[in-house]
Amino acid sequence: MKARFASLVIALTLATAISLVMGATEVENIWKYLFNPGYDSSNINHLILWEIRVPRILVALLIGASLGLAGAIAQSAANNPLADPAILGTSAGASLGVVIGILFNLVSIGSLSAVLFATCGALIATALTFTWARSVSALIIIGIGTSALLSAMVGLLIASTNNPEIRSISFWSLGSIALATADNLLIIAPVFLICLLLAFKIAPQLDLLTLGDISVRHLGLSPKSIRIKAFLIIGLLVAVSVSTVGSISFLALAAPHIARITFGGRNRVLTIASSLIGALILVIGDTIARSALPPYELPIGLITSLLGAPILILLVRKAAISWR
Amino acid sequence: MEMIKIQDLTLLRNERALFSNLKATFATSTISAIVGPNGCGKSSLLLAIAGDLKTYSGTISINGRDLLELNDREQAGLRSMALQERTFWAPMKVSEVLALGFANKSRADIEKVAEQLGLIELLDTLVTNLSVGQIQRVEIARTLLQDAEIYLFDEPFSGQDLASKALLIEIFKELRTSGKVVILVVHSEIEKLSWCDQILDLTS
Repeated sequence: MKARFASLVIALTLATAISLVMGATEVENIWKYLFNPGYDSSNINHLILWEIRVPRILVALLIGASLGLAGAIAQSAANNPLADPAILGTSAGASLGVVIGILFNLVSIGSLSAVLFATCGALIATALTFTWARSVSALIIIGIGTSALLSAMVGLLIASTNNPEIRSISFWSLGSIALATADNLLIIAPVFLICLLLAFKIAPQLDLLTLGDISVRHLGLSPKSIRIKAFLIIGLLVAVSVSTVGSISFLALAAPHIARITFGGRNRVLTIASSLIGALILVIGDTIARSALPPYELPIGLITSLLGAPILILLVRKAAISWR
Repeated sequence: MEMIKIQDLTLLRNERALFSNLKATFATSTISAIVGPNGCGKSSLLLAIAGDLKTYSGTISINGRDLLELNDREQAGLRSMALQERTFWAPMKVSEVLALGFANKSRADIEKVAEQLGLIELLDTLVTNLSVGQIQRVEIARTLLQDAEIYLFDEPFSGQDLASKALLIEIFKELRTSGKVVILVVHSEIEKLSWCDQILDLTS
């Protein structure tokens, strides 16, 4: 277990280092600028590194970690390996919240007010899915329905306005880190850390949900109250992510599965492992997205699927998990 | 001592009456078997006693108190139940699943129950790799780990070989000796249940 965690941390460090070096523009003397943040601060190399690349990489790491964490909590809370914020309607709800906020000129992308609108949307959508679904098996189908309904509303709202602030359909369906700034970190970083601590705290309760609702109730506990706590955390994580970089698909589904197969199913370990794996996939994905075809940016959601899907399929096949 | 008293119980599931006006009592230090054909409401009766199925008329009282007045925590101290056909998808070890929710139990307590149920060799195995019968025994082990007065088992013998069946019967007898109420839902023929103190046939 320790060796696996160590390998993961080393991989993450390497990926981050490579990500710093790669980019549309080559930064000369990159390590000198990196380790001496005050050095030659008006130089173009300094500006590219500290104003653009470092904030962007930090955003990728933290958003990846947030989505990995949200996915891990979603699967445990729903006691279903298919549950993720995109399938439960959480992401679409967050998108709709922000789009409505922008249409009424109340918020701008990446701001605290956008996060508030996204959180409301995310929580309402998730609550609707759970209210409409009467069983664990119905949850996924109802969730897909809720998600489709809200995504269609997002699409129609975008199509019916020419407000440039609202961004493109591509942003809301595939995500983009291209316009993320250092200011975004002031929201993303604290929210991620708080959510990680909260998730770590409720992890033993999330473990219990694997027994099913009846057995949890037989222990004298309320599965519903555990689930509500979990979905408040997920709502917040997804809201921050969606209101900053749009909807990055698949990451929240793949990261927790890879984490679970590699590190086991206990939620304390899982919260940390899934966060690290989410960060790793997104930082690699973003490096490819911005340096594969310069000066063009590839949609990040496509790259994360391209990276995460083969790993997921291989691992699940190898682990021979039978979903009885 | 009479622990559970059921009076005029008519149990509804999906708005259909499974049985009407059932009367029964379950005393301490006894083993009772609920039998009857598929769909006659055996498992539903067990779920009603466990407090999970509330669509009924009549009363179920435990220790002289109406079941509907007992909160979840009070019920948890009174009864422990093994469900049938449990499934797991998250890769947790058997030892981890056994310990879930039992912070008051030591590793020795868990190993003792695992030993009793022939699971000791499987403690480090992932629950996702177990057979149906082994999962059922993990479920029964968890049921035994919960301190209670009433022990409910839904189809405990399903998927078990002869040796495991004999093992389970010994465990039920031990519970009886220690003064517990044991209620089983079983599919066996009535003549094979001579070790039970009471047979409740839902056909009649």
